[in-house]
Amino acid sequence: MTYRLPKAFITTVVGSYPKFPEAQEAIEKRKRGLIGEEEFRNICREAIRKVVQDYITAGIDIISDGEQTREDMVVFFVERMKGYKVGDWVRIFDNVYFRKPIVVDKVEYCCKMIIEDWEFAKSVSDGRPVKFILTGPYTIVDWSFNLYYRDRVELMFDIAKALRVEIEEAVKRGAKFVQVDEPALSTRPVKEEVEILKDVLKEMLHGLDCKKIVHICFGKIEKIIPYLLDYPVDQFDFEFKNSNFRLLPYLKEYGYNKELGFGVVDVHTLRVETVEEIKDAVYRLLKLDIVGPEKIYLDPDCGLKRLPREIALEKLRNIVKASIELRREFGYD
Amino acid sequence: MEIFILGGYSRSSKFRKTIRDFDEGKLTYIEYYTSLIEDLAYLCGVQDGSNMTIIQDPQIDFHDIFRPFVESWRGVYYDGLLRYFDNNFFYRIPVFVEEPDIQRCVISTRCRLLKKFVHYKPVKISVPGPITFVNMSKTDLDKVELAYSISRLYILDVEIGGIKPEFLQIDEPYVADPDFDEKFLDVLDGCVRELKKVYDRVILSIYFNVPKSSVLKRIFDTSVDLVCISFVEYTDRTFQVLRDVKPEGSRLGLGIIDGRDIKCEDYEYVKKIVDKVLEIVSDRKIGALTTSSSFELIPLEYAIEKTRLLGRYGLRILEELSKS
Repeated sequence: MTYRLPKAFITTVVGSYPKFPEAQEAIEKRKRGLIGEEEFRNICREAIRKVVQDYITAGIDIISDGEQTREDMVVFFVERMKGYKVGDWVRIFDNVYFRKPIVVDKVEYCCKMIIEDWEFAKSVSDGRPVKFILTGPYTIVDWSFNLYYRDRVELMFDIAKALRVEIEEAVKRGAKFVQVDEPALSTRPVKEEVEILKDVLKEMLHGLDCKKIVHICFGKIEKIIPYLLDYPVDQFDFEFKNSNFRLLPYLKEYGYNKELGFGVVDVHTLRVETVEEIKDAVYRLLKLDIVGPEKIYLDPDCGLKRLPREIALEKLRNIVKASIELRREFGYD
Repeated sequence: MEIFILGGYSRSSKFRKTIRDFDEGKLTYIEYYTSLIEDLAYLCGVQDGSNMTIIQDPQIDFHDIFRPFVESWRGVYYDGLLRYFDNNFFYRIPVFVEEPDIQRCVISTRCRLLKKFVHYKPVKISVPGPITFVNMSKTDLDKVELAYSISRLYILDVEIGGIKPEFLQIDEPYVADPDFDEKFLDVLDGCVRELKKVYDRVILSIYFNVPKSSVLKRIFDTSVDLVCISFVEYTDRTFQVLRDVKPEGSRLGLGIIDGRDIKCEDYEYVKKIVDKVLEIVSDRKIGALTTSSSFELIPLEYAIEKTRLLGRYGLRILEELSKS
C-alpha cells in the first residue's frame, strides 16, 4: 500500500510517544535479565502497533515507532555498541534518573539497534512513511561519562561510524526519512561546537539517498542558526511553541532556506493547543516569508513521551485538523 | 585554608525508592523522614571522615536548588521544566507572582538538623544566589527589587529560626552565562552587603562556566569572603581570566576536583593546577580547596570517592604549602 504525502503542511512527529505498559514492563524485565533481546522485541511489537494505530487515527502523515523499546534516548543505543558499559543512576529531573553510560573502550558497531522496530512499524503503517530516528553522536557523547577517549570529537566520530551502519541498512530497506536527534547541541550554542557536529554529520550521512533531518530543541538555538545553514541536511526540526516562537525572526534574519520542522504544540504542558492556535502559529511563520507551505512540516516541539496518551493524541489530532484547514486555505487540496 | 564540597550529593538508590514510595502514599512522612535523616547523617559523616573542614548540606531531598525555597515561600510557585545550564538535568522554573514572603524556614531548619550530626564542625548551607534566582525564574515583577527581596528572606529565615550556619554560600552560576547583564553586578554587591550584616561568612560560587574578566573582577570587589571558581573545566580560559583579574578583595576558592565527571583526578594533576594558580596569586589569597560543582550529577559512589580524594589532596597541599 502506498500513501501519498500532501504537497504542503505535511504533519509528522519528533519521535517518542507515551510508553505503553507492556513496553515499560518489557524494558524492566530485560534490564533485570528476565527476558532476552528477542522476547523483549516481540513484547514491544504490540506497543509499537498501538502507537502506529494512534498516529493513523490522528491522521499524521510521517510517523515513527514511538520509541517504545527505548529505556531512554541514549542508554538504548550505547547498550548495543561495543565500548560502552551501563553506568549508575544520575538525575534528569525531580526524582527521575537515568543510567548514565560510561565509555570504557573503543566504540564500534556490534548489533542491530532500531532497525527491527522501524521495520515493524513500517509493516503496520498502512503505507505511511516511518521516520528512522536515532540519537546523534554529539548528544550521546554529552550524556555519557568518558573514561577511554582523550578527545571527545574522536569518540563522536566512532559513534557516528557505528550509527551509520544502522542508517545504511535502513536506507537499503527503504527508509526515506532519517532523523538525528541532537538536543545537547543547544546547551553549548557556540560556533566551534556547531562546526564539530557538522563534520560528524558529514561522516555519518554522506551519500545516503534519503531526506536527512536534524532535531534540536530547548536552548539558545538562535545563537547557532547562522552556523547551521550549511549543514549536510534537508531539514531542521526545532521546538517553537514552548519558547513562544522566539526563533522565528532569527530564521528570517539569517536567511534560513531548508525545510522546517515546525514545533507547534508544547510537550511540557497538558493543555491541548487549539486548531486556531496552531494555524495562527503557521500564519506567523508565513507572514515572515521564511519558507513556503511546501517546506513546512507541522509537528510537536519534541517527543511526546512525558504526556498522558489521551493528551498526546489530542494534540496530534489538532495538528492534523489545522494542516487540513491550512491546505484548503492555501489551495493545496 | 578550608576544604569543602561545593554543593549537594546525588541520592542513594534506597532514598530514591523512599521518595517514590512516599509520593505514591506507600510510606508515612515519619518513614520518609527517617530515611532522609539516615542518608544525611551518613553523608555528613563521609565529609567529616574525609577531612572536610566545613560540612556542606548534602541536599539529597532537594529536587533542584530553587525548589525548597519555592515550596516554602508565599508569592512563588513552580512551573514546567527547563534545562539547568549545559546539563542533561532540568529544574522547575520558579514563577514569582508577588513579592515573596516566608511561610516556612529553610536555612535555619537545615542548619539545626545538620548541627545534630556534626556540632563540632562549621556548617555550610548553599542557596541560589539572588541574581541567579531571579534570572532563572519567570516574573513580571521588577527583577532588581525581587533580588533584594530574596536576600531579605535569606536573612529573615535565620532571624525567625534563631540559628544560622557558619557559612552561607550563594550559588551564582548565572554570572558566567554569556547573556548575563552586568547591570546586576551592582545588585549583587548590594545583596551581599545585606547578607553580610547577618551572616558572618558568605561564599559565592560560580560553576559550569567561566565569567568574563570584567564580571569576575567586580565580584572579587564585593564583600563576599570567598569566591569559588572551577579550574577543571575550561581550564585555560579560567587561568586567562584570573590573570586578567588579578583578584583583590575576596579570597579565592579553587574548584580542583571535577564534580560532574567520574574520572578520578590524580594528585599531580591537582597539584599542577594549584601551582599554576600560585603563579598568579599568593598562597594567602587562596581561601579554599573545593569541587568544581556539586556532586548531584554523578552517581553517589563516585561522589563519595571524590570527597575522599579532595580531603586527601587538600591536606597534602596544605602540608606542602606550610613547608614552603
